Amino acid sequence: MNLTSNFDFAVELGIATVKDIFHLAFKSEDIYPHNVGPININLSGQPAEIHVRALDDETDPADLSFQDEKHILFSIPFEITAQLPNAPDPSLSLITMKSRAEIPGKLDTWPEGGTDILGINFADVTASSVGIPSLSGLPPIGIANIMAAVHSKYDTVPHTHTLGTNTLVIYDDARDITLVPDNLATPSEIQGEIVNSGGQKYVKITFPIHADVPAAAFAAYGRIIIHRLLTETDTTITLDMTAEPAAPLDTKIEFDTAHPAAGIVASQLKPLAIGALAGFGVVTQPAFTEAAARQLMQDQIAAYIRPRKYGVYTPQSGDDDIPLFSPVGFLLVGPGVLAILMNRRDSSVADFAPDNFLGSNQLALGVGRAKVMEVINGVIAEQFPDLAGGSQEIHTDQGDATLKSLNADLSDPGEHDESQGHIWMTGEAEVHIDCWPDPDVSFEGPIFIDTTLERTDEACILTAQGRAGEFDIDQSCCDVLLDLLIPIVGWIVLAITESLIDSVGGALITDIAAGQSRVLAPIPPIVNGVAQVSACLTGLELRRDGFIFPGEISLRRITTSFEDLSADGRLPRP
Amino acid sequence: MPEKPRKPSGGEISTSKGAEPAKPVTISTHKQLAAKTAEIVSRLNQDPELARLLLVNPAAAIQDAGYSLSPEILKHVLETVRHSKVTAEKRQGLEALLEKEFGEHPQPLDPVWLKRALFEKLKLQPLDTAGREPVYRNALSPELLKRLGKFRPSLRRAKVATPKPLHGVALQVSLCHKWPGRFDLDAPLDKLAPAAAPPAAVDLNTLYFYKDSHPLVRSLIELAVIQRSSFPIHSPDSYRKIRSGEKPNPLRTWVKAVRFKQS
Repeated sequence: MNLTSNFDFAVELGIATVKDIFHLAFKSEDIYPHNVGPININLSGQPAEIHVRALDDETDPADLSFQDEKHILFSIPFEITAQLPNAPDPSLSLITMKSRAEIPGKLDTWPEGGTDILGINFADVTASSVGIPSLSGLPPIGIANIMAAVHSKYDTVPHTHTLGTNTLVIYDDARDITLVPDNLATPSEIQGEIVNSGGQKYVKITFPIHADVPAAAFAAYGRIIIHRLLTETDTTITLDMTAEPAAPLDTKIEFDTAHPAAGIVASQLKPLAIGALAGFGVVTQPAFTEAAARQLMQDQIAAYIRPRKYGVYTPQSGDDDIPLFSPVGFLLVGPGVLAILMNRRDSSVADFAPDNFLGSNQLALGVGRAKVMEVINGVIAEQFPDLAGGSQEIHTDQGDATLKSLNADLSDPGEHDESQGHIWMTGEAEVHIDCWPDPDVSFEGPIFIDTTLERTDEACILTAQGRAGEFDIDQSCCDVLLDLLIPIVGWIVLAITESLIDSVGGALITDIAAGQSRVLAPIPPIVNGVAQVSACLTGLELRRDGFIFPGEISLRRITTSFEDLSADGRLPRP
Repeated sequence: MPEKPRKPSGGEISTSKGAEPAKPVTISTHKQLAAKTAEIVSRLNQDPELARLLLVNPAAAIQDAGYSLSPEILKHVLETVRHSKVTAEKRQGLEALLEKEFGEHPQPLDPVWLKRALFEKLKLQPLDTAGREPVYRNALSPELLKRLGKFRPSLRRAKVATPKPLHGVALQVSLCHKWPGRFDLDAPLDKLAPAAAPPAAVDLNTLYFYKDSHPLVRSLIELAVIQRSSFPIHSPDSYRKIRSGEKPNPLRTWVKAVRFKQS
């Protein structure tokens, strides 16, 4: 099993823990401001004020999944509000759209406070990499909105137009009650409908009017009927009131009352009417197709998320003289494991992902074979320094011997007919026996490391004890051998474990626990300033490829919440 | 662990190449033993399986190699393997002392005998030793500890302010095989409360807590340690069962080969 790839140490966390860290980070307003804005932009020619709100609650929970070896796909609900104070249709001056966005975050390393931390960086996010699987709140734009814009525009233009002594009054229901004469036209308000002609869309609009031509003794209510081209894009609907189309869509004026001069009056008023209605100008209504709305969301969400990043694994040396190696992360998509590698041993090969050794644990720490063997051989060399020269004299109360060789190798469960992983010891010693030739005894056998776990309020206490396998319990010579081997094995376990904890950013919490030993944080005790980590190593498994320490982890939010205050009875009082 | 019976070595050891089994060579004096040592060693080297059985019962293995040992030589062989000369002398001295004081052969590995020795012979006050662990001498010398120190990092202290105390792991690794041979007989002990009654039996760990109660207790412990750490020689019957494969060799894994130098 590949525990640590081309590194010495590995920490593996389950996706549930990664999600916990994300949610804690997501609750941090410093990292993820949940309300962004106002962002002032020009939207379809209209000044717009945009507010972005990121959500993560029971109704709209944020989530994540592992996308590939280096990316986590975040699923975050967003609410985007666009305020368009100059919207031609006042009902469209406030649009609120909700969407769920899928955003890839890159597993990345960056320096922070003098230490490289491993986390999620969104710097590479572009609008096109933001997925919008759901979108709601997009208002449909139709003739009602267009007419609402026309009604609204009516309020801004003159309603009485004169040419010499002739007067043309344009009504829109009771929007202008100062007009003379009163509005008795039919229809009484401006009306419109969409018509198609020549492959183009037009809005046919009927304006109620009153025309007064004293020279012709003509005074009558009536209507002006115009057709104006409607142009739709992905983001706008534009009605150009200034352009008069050719017949048969040209402007028509009708009167309610029959009069001999009606036809002449209508033809003479037509230029006045066209000019008056041109005052409505070009009415442009922001009107997004769903594709355009998605694009707008993608643009805004990408802009929101791009400067964000948060640490998932933040080792702090705390000592400038003890630099920590940069953590390198890999995501194991299938089993849902985040693997963090530290202390690159072999830089001649490209970094690669380790295997999943987390199993069903919340946390697992691994030490690679090369590092373990380095410590084993180093400790044996110190314990028996003369072995390098070929022999090491050993004197015990039980007798003397000359150790000629001693080797230790890691072995998997199943090797040497042993169901448990072990250190396989081999060696040769010349045993000194009085009055008899000294025999050379070649020996080999397994050393197991048994662990027990005790939990207290202050810590979990992991006790490791070496045990020589394959001895019958009544074999007293066992004690003599164990007296030599157990201290070595103990020191190996101690050295490897502490090196592991030191290298992955763990730390000393307290000197004394339960009057026995030090309490250690096996991994960095703080994540990114947002979470307090309590972790415990619950055992030790020996493998040919190294040591595995399964463990448990729990996270606690550092920042104080409403619930914290409530639980502690510290809510503000009136 | 499941037993893994060893295959028989192939039956009786023949001392000649003839069809008839050779008559065993009798060794009844130290001089004869010395004269035959090279020959015995050679034969054992020729039969690695038999050489390995030397550690089960050396006298029986030599006899299987074709030599008949007189009772005196047999005892000599067994005692030589069992202890070094110095340890054997110390054991004899302790046994003599304790036998004189207790009026019987001391049996410090027998919990019932120990109970009687402490509370009937020496009339010691029973102590409440429940939950107590003996003090053990360090297995690593200070010099070695200093050299090994380079493998242990100086762990940095967590410099964080957290709303709740950090919870972590306290690592306890035994750097000492806790057996009676590591008892620290000079370590000062806390004064133990008297017990209402003697324990049902006294094992060596319990005996340790009486080390300062009477001078003979220390001798009892020393003798117990010697007896316990002596080379475990199997009875002839046990040897035969191991040789025939009826019973597993307790050293079957660890002792791969035993070979003597030959001049």
